[in-house]
Amino acid sequence: MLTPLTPAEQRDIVAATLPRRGPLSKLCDLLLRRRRKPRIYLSGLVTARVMNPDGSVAVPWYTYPNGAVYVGLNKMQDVMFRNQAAHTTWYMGLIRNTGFTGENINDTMVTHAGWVEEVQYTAGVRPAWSPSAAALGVLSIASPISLTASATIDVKGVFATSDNAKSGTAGTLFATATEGTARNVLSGATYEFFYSVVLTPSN
Amino acid sequence: MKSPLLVTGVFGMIYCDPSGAVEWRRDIDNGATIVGCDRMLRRMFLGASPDAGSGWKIGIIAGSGFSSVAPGDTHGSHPGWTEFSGYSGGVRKNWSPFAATGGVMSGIGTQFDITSAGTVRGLLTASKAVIDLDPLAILWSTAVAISNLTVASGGVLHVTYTTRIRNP
Repeated sequence: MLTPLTPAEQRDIVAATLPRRGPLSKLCDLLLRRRRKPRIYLSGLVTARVMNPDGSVAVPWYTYPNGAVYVGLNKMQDVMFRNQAAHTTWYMGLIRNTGFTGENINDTMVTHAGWVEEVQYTAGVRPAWSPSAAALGVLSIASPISLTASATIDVKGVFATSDNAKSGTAGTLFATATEGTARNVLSGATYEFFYSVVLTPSN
Repeated sequence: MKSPLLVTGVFGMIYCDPSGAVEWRRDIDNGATIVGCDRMLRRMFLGASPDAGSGWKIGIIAGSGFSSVAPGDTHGSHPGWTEFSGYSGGVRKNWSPFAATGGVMSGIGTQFDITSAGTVRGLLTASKAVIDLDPLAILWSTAVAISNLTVASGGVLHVTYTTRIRNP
């Protein structure tokens, strides 16, 4: 049976997606006496699976990246560099497949024309995302978030926001993450997922 | 924008000699430190207290003795470089950015009035003004030029700093 990815494994996956410089690029730097530009990469990764109502695995663990939005990125810089108020807790919501046309960098909690929230799960509010303190640029959770469908649904992805009210428009949207194929979750089945954010420096 | 995103920081440096003439200018990209990245994540997602209660500060990396900057550098330990302190005031300068928009954050420039001749290699952002090796302070970023740059007493180094999160 497949086991969920550990935070370290998730970090490795993110690292594998980062652009790499080839020998030609390095040679050009040497010939031009050019110093290689330092890089800092911000990545988000969802690792999810679907469990049947009887506890068996319907869809084993798989991963997909998130896409950030401007309001989230602006918030990140305002909080870090301008001492603006930070959100102490972040929450995760589901994105419904029906009606999905796309994510947009300008999406906010008030306006996201390309998708709607999937709220047909038993929990009354969006689940909290409660990561451990960041270490080595990784912020992750030790146990997956588990949502039990209250009707048969197709999950396109997830999103991270600062407010927990289902269908609510308050709060700051940080990121959305969707995959090419929606996952069918039967009524009574669960959609389980980890979410990690990785900030990787490279001088 | 799909992951991974690129977090960039660019320092603009214009150095005017004592006569007021522009002697050199450089734009240098910063690299972050691991502790700086951790603090950014903790601040953003865990609501940790601000590291720079009075705002982030910009300091100067000395050319003399410079060998390298590294992601593992901290405010308390950075074996590859020392800090240049030959400017008036004796403390790092304020960076006062405006609210971020479109993933970009910039602020008004600051200036260093040079009081001691020497060489500079780059710049840094730190959470405190005092130039020391306080292990509790946070070093967010360092940026260095490809070679040392000469400054003279009476000269002025003008600095701007802009951060941005974007597609690679």
